[in-house]
Amino acid sequence: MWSVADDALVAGMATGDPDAASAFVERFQRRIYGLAYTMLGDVRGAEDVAQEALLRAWRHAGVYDPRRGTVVSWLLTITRNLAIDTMRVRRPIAIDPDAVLAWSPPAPGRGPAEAALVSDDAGRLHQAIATLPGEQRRAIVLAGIVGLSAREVSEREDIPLGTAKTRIRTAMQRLRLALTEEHTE
Amino acid sequence: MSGAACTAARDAAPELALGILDGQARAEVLLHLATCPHCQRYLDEMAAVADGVSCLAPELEPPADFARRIDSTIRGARRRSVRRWVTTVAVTAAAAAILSITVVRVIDFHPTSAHPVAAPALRSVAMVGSNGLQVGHVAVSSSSPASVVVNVDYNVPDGTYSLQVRQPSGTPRTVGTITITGGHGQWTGAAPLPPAQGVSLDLVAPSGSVVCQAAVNQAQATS
Ligand SMILES: [Zn+2]
Repeated sequence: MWSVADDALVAGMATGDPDAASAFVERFQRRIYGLAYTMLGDVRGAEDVAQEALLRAWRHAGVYDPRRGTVVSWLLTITRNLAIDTMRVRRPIAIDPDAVLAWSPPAPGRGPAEAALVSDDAGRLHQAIATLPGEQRRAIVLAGIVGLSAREVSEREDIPLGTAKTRIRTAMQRLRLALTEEHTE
Repeated sequence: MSGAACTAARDAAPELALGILDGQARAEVLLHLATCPHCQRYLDEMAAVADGVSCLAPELEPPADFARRIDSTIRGARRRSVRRWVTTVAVTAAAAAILSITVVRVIDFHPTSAHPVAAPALRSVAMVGSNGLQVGHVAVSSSSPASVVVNVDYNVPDGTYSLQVRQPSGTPRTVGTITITGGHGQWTGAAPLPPAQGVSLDLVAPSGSVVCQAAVNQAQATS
């Protein structure tokens, strides 16, 4: 069992410690692979992206800066960018945004103790997304999880570009409020 | 908040935070953010939301031998120095200071529908600076030697850099030089890319530090 903090693992990788890397891969592979698969919709592509994301984290561990964000968000950013690059080269398959959320309970397959660690924010966000109007929910899943641009959302949803932008923006603003309001309670 | 620039920046902040804003719009917002701490704070909040949304993607079990394969790649490439990356922190930190990690994504390279590119023959590989920040793209053909187009669009200080092909074991091989002006630079040429894992194309500053690199494994190119 590894109880080492995320950024300590990254620090270990930066020194070239392969055991730290193994623990890092074990800890994050499901989240990274899950995001890549959700974005790309195919096993082979998801595997390539997830592998490259983890290798990139290993290679660049020395420049990870905790002041700029958590390890998870660093890794998700790397993964998201890689998946988006892949999508730019070959078109993504059609993913049903509603299915993505239905697929994703706030803390899937976790015991209560671990689920609590997943952070209240995830639960709050999930709840907030569920209460968005359907059109906004679809837009935020397509843009925020699948990684489509506003133009691609407009094409996918068959709506004007301006409407797609408004839906994405409104959804993000509501989610931001949901997070900040809960914090001040 | 004040003025039209702030309104425009806040309108664009959600897309910027999600990493789906590009080109002119992104450049304009970034310019404003560099001078407006209020909008920068707003963007930071949006970035936190965007990270949260990404986290909502389901966790899935990768294929059985996934972790083991990564493990053996890492242990095989272990001799490759990670330390040299540390020196890039100072170089890129100044340029990166005005940017939030989530805003840096460059998607300027993609085959347009007007000029379809044979998919297996050309790959686009991200060029990455510090902290996972993307600074540009490298397009690589599967031919030998590979035709290479390097596009740097972001976050690399102006200057002249040498382009080096580097593999885990062996000395780097300089294949050309690239000049970055106003944050942009392009290089087109041929480069021999060994068919091995862990091969990268690096931008190297005159000081010898690697400023950014693209993982151009030809071994992965087979599809
Ligand atoms: Zn402002």
